[in-house]
Order: sequence, then C-alpha cells, then structure tokens
Amino acid sequence: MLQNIVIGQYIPVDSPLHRLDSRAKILCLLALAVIVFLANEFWSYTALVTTVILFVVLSRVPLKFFLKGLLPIFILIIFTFFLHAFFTNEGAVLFSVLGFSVYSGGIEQGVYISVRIGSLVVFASLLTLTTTPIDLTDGFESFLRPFKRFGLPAHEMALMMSISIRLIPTLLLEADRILKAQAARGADFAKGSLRTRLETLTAFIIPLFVRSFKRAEDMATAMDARGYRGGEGRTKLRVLKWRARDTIACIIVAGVGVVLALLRDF
Amino acid sequence: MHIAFQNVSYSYMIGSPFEKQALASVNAHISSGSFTGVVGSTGSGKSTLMQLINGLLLPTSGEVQLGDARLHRKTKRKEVKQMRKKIGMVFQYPEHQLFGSTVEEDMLFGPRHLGMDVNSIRKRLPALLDIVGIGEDVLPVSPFSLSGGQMRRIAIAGVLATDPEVLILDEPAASLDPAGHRALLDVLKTWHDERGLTSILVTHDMEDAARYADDIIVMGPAEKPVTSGPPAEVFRQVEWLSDIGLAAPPSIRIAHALQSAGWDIRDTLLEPEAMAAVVANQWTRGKKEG
Repeated sequence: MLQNIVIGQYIPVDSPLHRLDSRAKILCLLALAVIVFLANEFWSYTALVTTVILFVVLSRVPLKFFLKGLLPIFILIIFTFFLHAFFTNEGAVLFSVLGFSVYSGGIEQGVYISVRIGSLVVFASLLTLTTTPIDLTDGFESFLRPFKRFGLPAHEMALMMSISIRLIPTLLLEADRILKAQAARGADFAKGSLRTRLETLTAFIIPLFVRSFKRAEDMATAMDARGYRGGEGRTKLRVLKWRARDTIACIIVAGVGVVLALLRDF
Repeated sequence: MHIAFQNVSYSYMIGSPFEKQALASVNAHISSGSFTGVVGSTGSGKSTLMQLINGLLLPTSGEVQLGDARLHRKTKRKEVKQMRKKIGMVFQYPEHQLFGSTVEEDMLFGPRHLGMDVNSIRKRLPALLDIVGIGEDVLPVSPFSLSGGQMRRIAIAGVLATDPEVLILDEPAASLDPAGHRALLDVLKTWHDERGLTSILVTHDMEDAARYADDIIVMGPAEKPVTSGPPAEVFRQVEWLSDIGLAAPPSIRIAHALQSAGWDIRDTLLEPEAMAAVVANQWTRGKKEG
C-alpha cells in the first residue's frame, strides 16, 4: 500500500556528485538557480542544456527519477509554453488558429521558457537525489549558524528537521500497519458511503496519532536519559569536510555562469 | 478451510532500487482444521506469508488457494474483500489498531464493515470479553484508559467478533508476562478446537509452537524457503534448526545434549513433563547399573 513511496528521494549510488560536500551542492544549486535566468538566446540555451545533461550523466542516477520529478510540473510547463506561443508577436507568422496567429518568435520563446523551468527542476532534483537527508540538514545548519547571534535557534531547527525526516519512514511503516490491520477487519478505504468512509478514516487517523504521541514521548525521555541539553558545546559524529573537489565544483558552476553571461544577448 | 501456496513469490517495492524479494517460490499447504505453527528467524518472510493469505498483499507470481478461491496477481479487490470475511487476522501488537471512543464501538467495527448483523453481535460482546478474561463493565469505557494487556485482549476479542473460519495469529502473546502469555494462547487454542477453525500461529517461541501446533512450517533461507511437518519430526533436526538461526524447544535440546553425552535416550518427546520422565527413568537405571 504505502510501501512504494520513496522519501527523501535519495538514490544510493556512487558518483562524483554524491561525494561532494552538501554545502557545496547547496551553494551550487543557489548559483544555478540564478544562472538559469541568464540564458536568453539560442547559444546560451544550448550551453544551459549541455550543462544539465552533463550533470545528470555525472550523477549516475537513472533518468526515470528525474522524469518523476518533472511529472508534477509538466502541466505548468505545457501551460507556459502555449501562453508564450500564442501571445508573443515576433518573427514570421507560422499559422493561425481561431483568429490567433502563431509567430515563430512565440514558439521560440515557449521552448526557451519550458527549458528554463525544466532545468531548474532538474537542478533541484539533483540536490535531493544525490544527498542524504541527514547531510542536507547538516548543510543547512552550517549555513544557519551565523544567524545564531540574532537569536535564530539554528541547532534546534536543524534537529527538528532531521527528526522529522528520520521519522517519516517510521510513520509510513506505522501507517501501513494500521491500514492493513483495519483492512483485515473489513475496512475499505476506497469505497462506501460518506458515513462509513468517515469512520474508516477515524479508524486510521486515531491510532496513528496515538502512536505518534507515544513515540514522541518515548523519544523525549530517551533524549533526556542520555543527557541531551541542546546544541551548546555539542560535537558532531559526522563532520562536514570541505575538500578540493568542492571548490572545483563551485568553480565549474561559476564557469558555467560566466559562459552563459558571455553568450547571452544584451 | 484448506490453504495452499503454489510457487508463491513476493517482492517489495518492485522497480525501485530498493526492490527486495521477501519470498521466492514458496510451496506449502495448511490442512483444513489444523493449528499450524509458523516459525522462522527475523526477516524470513513470516509476516509476508500471512498477509498473502488474506489478500493484504497479492503474490508477485504464483497463487494462494483458500478453499475454492484463488488469490493471484490479478485478483479483483471485490473478491479479496469477500475472502476477508472468512479470515480473522491478529497482527503483532493488535492493541495499536484500537481507535473507538468505547470498547463496544471498537469491537463492532469489524462486524459492521464486513456487513454482519451488528445487533446480534452486540449481544454476544459480553461473552466474547469473558472468553478473553475481561469483565463486560469495560464495554462503555474508552479503550485507551485500559492497561496494555487489557487493550491487547480487547483487540483480539474484536477480531474474534467477526467469527472467522481462518484465524491468523502473528505473535499474539509477544511482550506479555509469562502467565498472561500462556493464558492468551490457551484461550485461542480452545476457541480453535471448539469452533473447528483453521488457525495459523506465527511465533518466535519454539515452546509455543511445540505446545500448540499440530503442524509446523519453518521459514528458512532462500535456497529452501519452506520445510513443514509435524512438530516431533521438524524439531528433531536440532542442528539444522540452529544453522538457520532457530533453536529446537528446550525439552528436545536437552535430550539431544544427553544423547551426545552418551546417554541411551531413544525417544525425544516434545512435552517437557514426558521428556523429564524419560530422563529420570534413565538416571535411576544408570544408577542401578553403575
């Protein structure tokens, strides 16, 4: 039932992108999110698409996982494509439908914008597909740390994030067990009158909540028992380490930015 | 109801990098009216096998026969639901499935959703509670105000309320105290005998398996997923059992140890009392001779 859901999306293969420091990957993603908007004509878009393909190949993640990420925003891409195709009045008229003239410039613009959105999504998926959730939170925490002096609880925020991420699979497993237990008692989650369905839903939600609260309580007790007292003076088991390859990755991304900036039309 | 597995395989998360085969072409059968014990080490696929019986999981390949019905990869939801009416399933920690605002409401959930006559079952609830050893005064009480052991017994009574022909028990007595453990299994065994059910007990406890089961199914390693037979026969293979991470019941292990120490013990019996008598007999004879 729920066992087919992959959380955190992380795909455990070994690749140059997997080995990068999570902070480097977050920085590169931020930079790429800006760089994507530099492309504005054929050659700069070609450079952008080449970069995307290169990174996807480097990640060694099967292509279908990127397509899965693209699927939800496919409608958005189609919509923007047609919007641009119909409402840009540049270049030669290609054909007319229902009084709307479609210009070559419109088609061009539509393709460009779609490529832009698609690249953004692929870059973002690259981060989550090649970085474990734990590394990701560690990365975020180290970026948040400077803001601690302004009262931002960086450690607590990161802890909350990692506990939530850690408990998602546990919660799913629990949900699956409860669903099955109630299904074995005859509950049908897909059919029935509104009243029956409401009751089946309660039979699912209530045990799930009871278990979650119980688990949270147990966890708090376990943390207390082990002397947890917040982030003060706490050391890490896994220390993020910035290596030469991380610097190189940042330089490559900066290089992509420079190339696109030079190629683009001013 | 006769249950048979024919070349049943099951894999979790097919088509993802996390795909994992839990069962590989399993063949086994459970005869009608038997009380079958299913034993195996953690991760050997016991729970998967149980979920295949009532269609919570459908086999990736092969088929499960239940009486005249068959469950396979393409069985329709409707047929599966029809099947479930005849099968009662007590999961591990059944108390986790409780949700009702009163014990009565919770116990009637199963019967109502299986389309049974709720009013006649309502009258039977006190008797059901009595069987599992709880007074009927808990009926209007919230199940969450009761102790863990009471919640467990109420959840089990809720499954019995659906009047199943096949009863699947997945470690029903786990983490109960020894007295409660025996009492609960005794209750379920009596219910089985009186109603002529076909019951399946999944357990880690070899003594339970030896004490209650007529037949044993051992879930083993991938090369030989299933071995079955009567308890006396299965548990005689002491070395093989320990190879796959299981231990024979204590009475048999003791007999086996004495045999290898040179004692003349020919019968290895399952009942601890009977085995003790054999050992005592040998001991006195040995003294006389020596």
